[in-house]
Amino acid sequence: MLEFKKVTKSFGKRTILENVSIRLENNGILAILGPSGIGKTTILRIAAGTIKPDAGEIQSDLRRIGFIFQEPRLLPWRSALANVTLVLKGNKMLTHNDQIEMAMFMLERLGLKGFEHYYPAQLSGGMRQRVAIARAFVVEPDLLLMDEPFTGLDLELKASLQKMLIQLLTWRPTAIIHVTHEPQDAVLFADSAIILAGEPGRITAKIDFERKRENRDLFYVQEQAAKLAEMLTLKK
Amino acid sequence: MGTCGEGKKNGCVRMIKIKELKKTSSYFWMILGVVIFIALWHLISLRYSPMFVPSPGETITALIDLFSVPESITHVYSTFYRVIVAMAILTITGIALGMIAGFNPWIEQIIKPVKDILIAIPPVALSLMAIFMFGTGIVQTVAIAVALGFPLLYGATVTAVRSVNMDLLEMLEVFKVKKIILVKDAYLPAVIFAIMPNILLASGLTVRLMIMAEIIVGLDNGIGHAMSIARVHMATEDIFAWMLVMVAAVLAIEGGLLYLVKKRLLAWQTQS
Repeated sequence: MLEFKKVTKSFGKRTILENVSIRLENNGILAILGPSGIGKTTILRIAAGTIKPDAGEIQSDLRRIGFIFQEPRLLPWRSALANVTLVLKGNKMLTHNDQIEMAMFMLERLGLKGFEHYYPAQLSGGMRQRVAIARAFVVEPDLLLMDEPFTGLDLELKASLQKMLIQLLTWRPTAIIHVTHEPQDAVLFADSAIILAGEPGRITAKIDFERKRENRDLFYVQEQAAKLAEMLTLKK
Repeated sequence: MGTCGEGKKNGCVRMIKIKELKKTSSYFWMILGVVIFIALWHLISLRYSPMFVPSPGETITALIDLFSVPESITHVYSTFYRVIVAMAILTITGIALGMIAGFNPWIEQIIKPVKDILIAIPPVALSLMAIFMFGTGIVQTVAIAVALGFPLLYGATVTAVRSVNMDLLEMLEVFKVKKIILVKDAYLPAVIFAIMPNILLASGLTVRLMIMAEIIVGLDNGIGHAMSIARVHMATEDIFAWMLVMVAAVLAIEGGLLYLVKKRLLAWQTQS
């Protein structure tokens, strides 16, 4: 479980987040929506432990963290395989062969068999993002943080990546915080969504999606997305 | 190979052809540059006595004569050996200290006076100072070349460490990657990529500085020593011939280094 209790965060004189409270159960999926610069990524950074809040409390028993960024953020001088094994190197429980095996398994699951020795510059944008997804899942995360991972991709690529991600989540469920601009993306993955608005950013609305992810048809997704979009417009 | 991963063969073939064409045209301009240089040199040599400016032909004849004596090979070998030792020391110390100083600004401040002195003092003055303080010998000669080339690689490394992509560092922090892996897998390749032009520059510089140090220190072998002898005998064509050897040495070291680095360290870039 991950819990933010009245978290406040400032950068210099500017307060970004104020009194933000979030509760995320194990394997729960929360979407965060809101305009740019409102503090969505700051929440992810606090959850990842790379920055500390100025006030409030964080409680978490989710130790292993995976992160999918908007850009793949792969080391250009390492192959796809090395980029994935990189995040396993600190794990003393795993031998070098285990690391390779695990990374190969993830790359294969993401349709990258045969491309493991390619450098990022030799891969297409979609393939690079798949390597980044493999890297996030190979650590067997208790908490997966996603920062607009589908932004800037064309529709076809986005749909195929979303399908892969849903398959991965069915295979290996994990708690997720998914930051997105797109209401439809939020409904595709999340159990609930919050909207951040105002200056400084606060939670101004919350919506729980009643249907389970596997039972959501296109009509339901569009209906809930429209509801979210309306709430977003009202809260701007 | 390029980004030919998923069914873009025609595009890739076209790109490869364009690259080959560009390569051929760059060779053409390079050869033209060499021809113009030799022509100008020849024209200048017509105006002056061979005592001051020997012609390209006279220089080539002198070069052939030089290398008909095994002693000249020993001179080249001695200088090459010293240059390689100096480059190895220079690269390792420059990158290591540059990375330490890049991470710790207080260490950069400690090293700053030494670096500033090495930049400000003319190479000849520093060489003379080294001779007065430490005497003459091969170690001193190599040390002079290292000291003079050090600020170049050290300074570039400090800048490179501080310019490493913050997004990549954030990614590594999120995944809790150990510091040693962070240095080995993120910082070192990024630094080597960034300072590559400086390494190449330093290799050429080290050849020049080494020969200068050999002349000033007065070693009894090496290209510097051979040039000193030629100067004493007023054998200008020999001096020019040794200068050609210097150019060849710089090109060979730069080329060899570039090949090694591209093949081993920057393969990720050359294959993209």
